[in-house]
Amino acid sequence: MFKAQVLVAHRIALALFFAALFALAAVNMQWDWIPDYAAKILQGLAKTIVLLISTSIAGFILCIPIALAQVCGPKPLAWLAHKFCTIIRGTPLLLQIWLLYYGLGSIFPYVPGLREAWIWPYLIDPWPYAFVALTLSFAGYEGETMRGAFAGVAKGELEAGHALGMHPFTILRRIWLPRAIQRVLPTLNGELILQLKATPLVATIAVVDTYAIFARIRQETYIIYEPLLLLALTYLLLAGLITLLCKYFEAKSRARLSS
Amino acid sequence: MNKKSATPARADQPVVDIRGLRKSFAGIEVLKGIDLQAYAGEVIALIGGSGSGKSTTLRCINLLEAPSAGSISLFGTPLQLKPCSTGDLQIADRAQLRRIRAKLGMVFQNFNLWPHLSLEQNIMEAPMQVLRYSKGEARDAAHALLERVGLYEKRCSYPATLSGGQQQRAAIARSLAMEPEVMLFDEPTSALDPELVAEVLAVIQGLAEEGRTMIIVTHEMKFAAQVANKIMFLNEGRVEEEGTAQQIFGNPNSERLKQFVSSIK
Ligand SMILES: Nc1ncnc2c1ncn2[C@@H]1O[C@H](COP(=O)(O)OP(=O)(O)OP(=O)(O)O)[C@@H](O)[C@H]1O
Ligand SMILES: [Mg+2]
Repeated sequence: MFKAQVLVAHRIALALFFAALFALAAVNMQWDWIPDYAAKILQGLAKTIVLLISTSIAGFILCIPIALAQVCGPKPLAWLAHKFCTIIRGTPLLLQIWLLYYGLGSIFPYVPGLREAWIWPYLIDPWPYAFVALTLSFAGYEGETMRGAFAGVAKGELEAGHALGMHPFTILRRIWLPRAIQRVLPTLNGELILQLKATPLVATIAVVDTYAIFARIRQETYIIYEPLLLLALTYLLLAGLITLLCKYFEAKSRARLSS
Repeated sequence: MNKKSATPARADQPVVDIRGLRKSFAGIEVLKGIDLQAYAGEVIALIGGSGSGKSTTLRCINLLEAPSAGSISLFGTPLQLKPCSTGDLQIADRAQLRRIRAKLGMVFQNFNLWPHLSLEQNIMEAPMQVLRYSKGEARDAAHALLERVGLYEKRCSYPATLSGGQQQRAAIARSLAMEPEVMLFDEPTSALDPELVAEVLAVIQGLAEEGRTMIIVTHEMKFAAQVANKIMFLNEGRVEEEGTAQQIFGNPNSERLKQFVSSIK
């Protein structure tokens, strides 16, 4: 009870502080560029959000076989999956993006027939490279987390499924995977925020995301701080949204797991 | 409910027929040739000291543990086993194993309910996924079973919110939902607080009175004597002695069994 009250007082103080800061910023700083760029900013924001959601989903789907291979796969596959995670986690994402875009991108033109293929327009666009790089990155990190989560599910729960005559794939789909996801929920929040903060790197291969828009605003208006502040606020809001969503699912799953 | 007769009618073939079952863990042989036959309607209690191989025997019957040697016949069909790289035997036909497991109910010491599903969902899961029941059929069956084990009011609760005794009764209901021909119990009351043991034993007793075929590993000797047609005493991976409750507890032959019986009195 006492703790909750302290928290409330502390929150009010914080809110007042930021309100004052906000008022100061509104009066003393230059924000007249916002209306001109509002549409562009929203487009960039949409790209960031689409990139975040699509790569998180694709990366998570990809991480399941990577994690399973390490937990119960044959040795060579387990080794391969483990090495994949090590490499992804051990090298800068910026490097991975560039290797994909400039590396693969420079090989493709020499593949015979590719220039005429339907897929060519997509291959010269930076989007697919950004998508693949961010997906692989998320899969690498989540592959490691999910490996632990799969291994941590009580063996007896799976045995109960086997003893009832369930198919191993059914056990995976209905018991093992849901239970593993339940275990990673608390860490997923942080990892999704890391993924969000990784998205601006795609601006380096000319994907026009939120960050790229703000960089352009700074170049065109010669205003230095204000766009950066708004950019920071934008990412903060997105991170807050992710946290809210995760907390919701976490609370739901915790209600089931505690007596 | 039919009262169980002292000697159940025997079809000429046992439903569970285990012969020469051996099992080694990392080179150490823990089962040294177990023979076990259960006929329809029979209740067999496996007793013995800790580490004597009771759980391993039970787990080999539905191949949760891979036997090292021996033959296993269930419902008149021999399991097709083949040697695998570890030196243990392995099922040759996985679909056959799943069909047979669906007819073998197993109740674990630690219940092993699925924490992310409500009691009702726990019970509906296997009938829907394995027997292809519709959701409605599975739910009706689940409700009837929960009613039977006295948990109908708790049907929407999650396992973590229940007492051990309630969880174990739900786990029994989950096995029953598959309408198994044989039930295997591995120390169903060992993880329970003493005051919760009776409610679970009552449910198992009810099943015995229905004439279900059951193999029960238990440390509850009074219960074993009361419910089992045949008691098998395991010692160091061998069946040291088997017989009726009277023979085993009243007139033990081997030194080991005499020791065991006196130690539990
Ligand atoms: N997975 C395993 N790996 C290695 N050794 C095992 C394994 N499972 C069982 N054992 C060993 O096999 C022997 C028999 O074990 P088992 O669990 O069948 O005994 P039990 O009769 O059920 O004993 P308890 O009454 O304590 O449950 C023990 O010595 C045990 O240490
Ligand atoms: Mg045991």
